[in-house]
Amino acid sequence: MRRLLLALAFLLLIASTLIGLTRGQIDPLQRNILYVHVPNSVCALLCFVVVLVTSVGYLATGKQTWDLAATAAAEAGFVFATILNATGMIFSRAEWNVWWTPSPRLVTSAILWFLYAVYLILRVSLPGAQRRAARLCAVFGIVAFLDVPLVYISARFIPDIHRPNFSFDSTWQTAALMLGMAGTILLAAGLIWLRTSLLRDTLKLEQELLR
Amino acid sequence: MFYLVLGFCTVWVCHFAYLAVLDRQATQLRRRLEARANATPDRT
Amino acid sequence: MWLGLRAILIKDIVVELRARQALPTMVVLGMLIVFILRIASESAAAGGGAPVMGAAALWIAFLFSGLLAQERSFAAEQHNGCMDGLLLAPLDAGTIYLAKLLANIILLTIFEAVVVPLVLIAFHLHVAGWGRLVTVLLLGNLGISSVGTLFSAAVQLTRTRGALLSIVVLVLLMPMMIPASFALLVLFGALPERMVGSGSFAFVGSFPAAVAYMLAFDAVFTVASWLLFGVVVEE
Repeated sequence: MRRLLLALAFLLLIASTLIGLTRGQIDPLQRNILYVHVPNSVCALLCFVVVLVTSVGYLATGKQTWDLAATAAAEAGFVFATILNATGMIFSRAEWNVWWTPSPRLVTSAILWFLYAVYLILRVSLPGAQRRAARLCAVFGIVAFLDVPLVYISARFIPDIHRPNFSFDSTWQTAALMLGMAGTILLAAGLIWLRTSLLRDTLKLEQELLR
Repeated sequence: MFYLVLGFCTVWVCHFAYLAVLDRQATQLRRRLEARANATPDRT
Repeated sequence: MWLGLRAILIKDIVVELRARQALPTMVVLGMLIVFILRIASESAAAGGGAPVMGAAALWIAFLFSGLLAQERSFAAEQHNGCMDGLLLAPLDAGTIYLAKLLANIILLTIFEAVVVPLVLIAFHLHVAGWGRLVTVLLLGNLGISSVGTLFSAAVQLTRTRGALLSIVVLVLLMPMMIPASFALLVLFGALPERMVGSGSFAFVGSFPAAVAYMLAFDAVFTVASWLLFGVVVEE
């Protein structure tokens, strides 16, 4: 089932890339990066929402699965945020000839990456009781969400060097982007699912070994 | 062209790197489970 | 001697690579400092010079001194099991949090009273409106203290306590540093009261907007920390 999900995600991504680089090509060539940049950025934010929801869920119910899902979402989010910033920098270099400049969108994207990084460091640094560490991470997830994505979203409405959306000329281009979007979101869901069950099984094994 | 290729490569490298990490952990987990399954009869 | 040196060197590096505790924290802390300095001194908009340096110096000094005060605020309680006694007292966690927060704010205010004149003299800065300067500084103080107090309780038991607290607090305060730096730069006469364009300072827009942003951050941080503090300290 999970394999199927991941396989489907990769098929969609490959289809998106093929369409994007042939019929739906954007001129000039380097702008085609946006076919991967946009979906991955959306997923980086979506993962943050998942972290928020699972953190709240953990604090409300105290069930461990919520906590594991939050970890999984944060890890996947870190990967997507890394891609978001890396492709963003490459695009910016190709388009504006600078790797980075403090514009609202770029600053908030970098902050998003930092938040994921700090969340993951916090996760591995907290010793002792599992429950306490999980609660602390949940608190950080909630405070972080109150803080940054709100800024991130508000930054969309500000005039900026970074354009919020491109207007597409052909349906091929829209199709390529939509396929990429669907593929990346499926990939995110698959990764989070896979990671959650992996964490759960590892934990179960460790608990049995302790007994 | 260079930047386009660089961008796409970054994406695929990141995705597959994370998948590889997950895969390694899954393999480790399976190995430990098998080791445990083999060890249990002796202990009881 | 060489043998001992080599043995300890290899041991230290292997331990660090295995445990992977200090290194990521160090790296992220370094990146955060660079990044905050970059936001705080967007010289392209302000034209560089003493006001930019002064504003950046002020916020960096506040952030790190604040961290020092906050790190202390729960360390003492942890030592002799005082935290347990405090939690057993018939108080709700929110009250403990508010008391700790006020203590940290007062400490940081005393620190500001000394350091702000120093920065003003050292960088030859002229302030347009002392009342507004005090408002901005106090708002920054509240933001720094509220997040710091919450998480200093959280990271007490960790090995990399101070560094971990710094990265957690710095990353959460980073968005607030944009309007905070903007406000100081306006007060130091490096930026106009109102800005248009496409930089991250134009994002803030005007001095009243900067103060409003800081107020909003403070309100969110303080209320959220006050509500969540019980979750953090409960065993």
